[in-house]
Amino acid sequence: MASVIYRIVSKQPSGYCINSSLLRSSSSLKCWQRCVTTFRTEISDPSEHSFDHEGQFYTIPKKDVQKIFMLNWMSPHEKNMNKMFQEFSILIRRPALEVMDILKRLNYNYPLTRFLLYGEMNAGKKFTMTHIMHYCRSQNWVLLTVPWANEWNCKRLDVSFNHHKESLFDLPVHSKILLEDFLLKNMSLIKEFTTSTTYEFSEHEASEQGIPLTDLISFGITRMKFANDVVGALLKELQILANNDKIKLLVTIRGINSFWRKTGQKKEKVQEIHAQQLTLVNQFMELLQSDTKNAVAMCSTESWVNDVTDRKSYLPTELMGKEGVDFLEPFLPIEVPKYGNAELQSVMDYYIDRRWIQAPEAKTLDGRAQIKFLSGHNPYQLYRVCVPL
Amino acid sequence: MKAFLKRAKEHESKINKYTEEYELGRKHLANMMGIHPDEMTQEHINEAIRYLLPSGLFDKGSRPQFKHPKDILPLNFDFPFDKAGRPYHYQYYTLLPNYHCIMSEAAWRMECLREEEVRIGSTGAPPQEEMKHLSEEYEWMDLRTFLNYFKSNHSEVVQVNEHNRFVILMTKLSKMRLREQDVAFLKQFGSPKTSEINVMDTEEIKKFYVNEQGRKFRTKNGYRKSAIAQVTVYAEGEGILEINGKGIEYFESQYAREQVLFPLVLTSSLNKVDVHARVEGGGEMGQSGAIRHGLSNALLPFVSQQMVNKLSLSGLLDRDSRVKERNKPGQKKARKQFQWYELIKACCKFLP
Repeated sequence: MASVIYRIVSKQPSGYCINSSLLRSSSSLKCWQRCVTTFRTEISDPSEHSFDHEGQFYTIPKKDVQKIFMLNWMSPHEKNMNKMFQEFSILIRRPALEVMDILKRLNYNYPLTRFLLYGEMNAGKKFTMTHIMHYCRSQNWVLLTVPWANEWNCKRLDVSFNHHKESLFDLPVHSKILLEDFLLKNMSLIKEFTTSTTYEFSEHEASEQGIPLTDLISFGITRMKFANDVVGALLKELQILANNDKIKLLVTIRGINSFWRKTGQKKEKVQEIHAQQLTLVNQFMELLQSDTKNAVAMCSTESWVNDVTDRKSYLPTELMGKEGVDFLEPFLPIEVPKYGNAELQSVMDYYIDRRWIQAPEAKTLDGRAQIKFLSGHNPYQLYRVCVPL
Repeated sequence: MKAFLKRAKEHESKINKYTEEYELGRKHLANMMGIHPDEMTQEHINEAIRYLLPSGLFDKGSRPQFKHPKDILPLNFDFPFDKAGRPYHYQYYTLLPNYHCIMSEAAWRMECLREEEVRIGSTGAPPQEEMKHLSEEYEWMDLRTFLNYFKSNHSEVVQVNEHNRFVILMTKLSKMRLREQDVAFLKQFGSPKTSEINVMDTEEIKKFYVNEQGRKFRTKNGYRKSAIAQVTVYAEGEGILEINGKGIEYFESQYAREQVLFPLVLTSSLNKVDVHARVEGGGEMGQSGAIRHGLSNALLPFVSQQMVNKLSLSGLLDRDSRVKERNKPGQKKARKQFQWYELIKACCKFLP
């Protein structure tokens, strides 16, 4: 009986190979691996990416990773990948390129433009956001990030009453985290700016006009009681600064469909709170509906926000409801699709390059076809399928 | 001798008794059915029994049957020796006459062939009969069929080491140059290894329909546990997969996805075939098993005969008959027993 040995057939169509003549002459694995390097680019500056680079990986330099992404934005899964692969590299995909294209040509005198990213679970919305954030950072924009908006809804931390309005609820710890995060990311850019008006936080405590912004933020960090008010003040300051053409603002909110849900928190363990009753939510909604120039908002609807049973739908109308769509209109919807065939191949090349896929049978064409079948073109599923290989 | 006679008499009386009961029952059955007892055949009896005593047991041999005792009870109790007590078979005293008969015949044939070779080699004369080597390697009877052969035909109990010696002898014999009679002798006990066992070669398997657009397709049902799947396979396709309107994300677990992948990988038709499936009932694993069953049945006409053999031998074409075992009274579940208490044992000492 013939025994089955997987051998690389040297007659494959090599659309992604540089030296195809070399391939045809030899049939060894090493030579093939040396040839295939076109899944990467050397360009690490996102402003130079264009549609030619679609389907290729680029690495983010380490200082940017440390500064922007390491603390709050990356999930433990991504931190693991960073540690394992010794680098942080992203696949360049069409939605990110489209958004960057629009940003280059946008007339910033018009009020806030809103992008809405939607797609199936684990399709890669977060990575498009990282790509765009890296681009904006290279253009020296100010970044305001809300890494996961559903945290405000979770049944975790203290809720206190708001001093100014009776019906709204504060979240001191979450707003403190926001402020810290903002300070770390944008330290170098905000050094010069000062407040324009006075803000009264209570009868005795107030901030005066002309204080540097960093002082305002550090005041909010130290005095957690007033952190939420400080956030509101900060947002107003940023609006004023943007209107005066001094900075450009990028607001990213992940999971915006949590704004229209019930929270898990209860007032004095009895009364349930709806998300609309939180001050943070109201502040961000004000910002999104304002008429600031030089600002861009990037939101994403995630089906992670719902319960485990409710995660099948991924279209924004189903997730946000009528209220949400009415609120956000007009917006630019951008779909983040699952992997196409070329992208799948380049991702598998990357995994082989990084020694993530080690079984020799998985590196053959047959093995790749099987992996492609099993993963269902889903990025996260592809990762999980390759785990035991 | 005396014990032998006694046993024979008992056997005879038993058979007579059973035949009487059988005849009585037969007449009653004929009366019930309204047929004349002389015209009743075994088929009528089987039908009647299936109607009167229905059973859902999987093993057809353990369902209720009504047959003449000579079909059921062991064979005729013939005396293997004559009136004087002298046995007929020349190897009767070995206690396994038929086994040793076969072995000695094989050994005798080997001796004959060796003499022929010597004669040919020394004199140079051509052989008396046509002699050839066997072209292929033969596979001999495995242990189970071997034991069965002797038990059912001659009611002899053979051991394992005897089977080993049998295999060694036969391989030795098959490697010499053989005459036609030797080949016929050997074919009783073995068959060539590389014979193409055409397992399924009917016309039904090769049937497929043609679409309006001119594409060939075939639909088949697949079953598993309580899930029913209708699978249609289109030939000359690209590798599109559709289950109830969704892709392979219909199944969330990796195991279920691999069940759907397996027949396609075996027949190496991952990117050459389109699959559309509709599934109802059961759970995730049951549905994936049903799709696998339907897929492998539907792929048959588009695949070579050797692959069809492979598929049937691997068991992909059979319906998986495993079902949940019933709960039994006196136990908690199908196998789990109630807890056994020490106190009961201690208390029983004090009871009268």
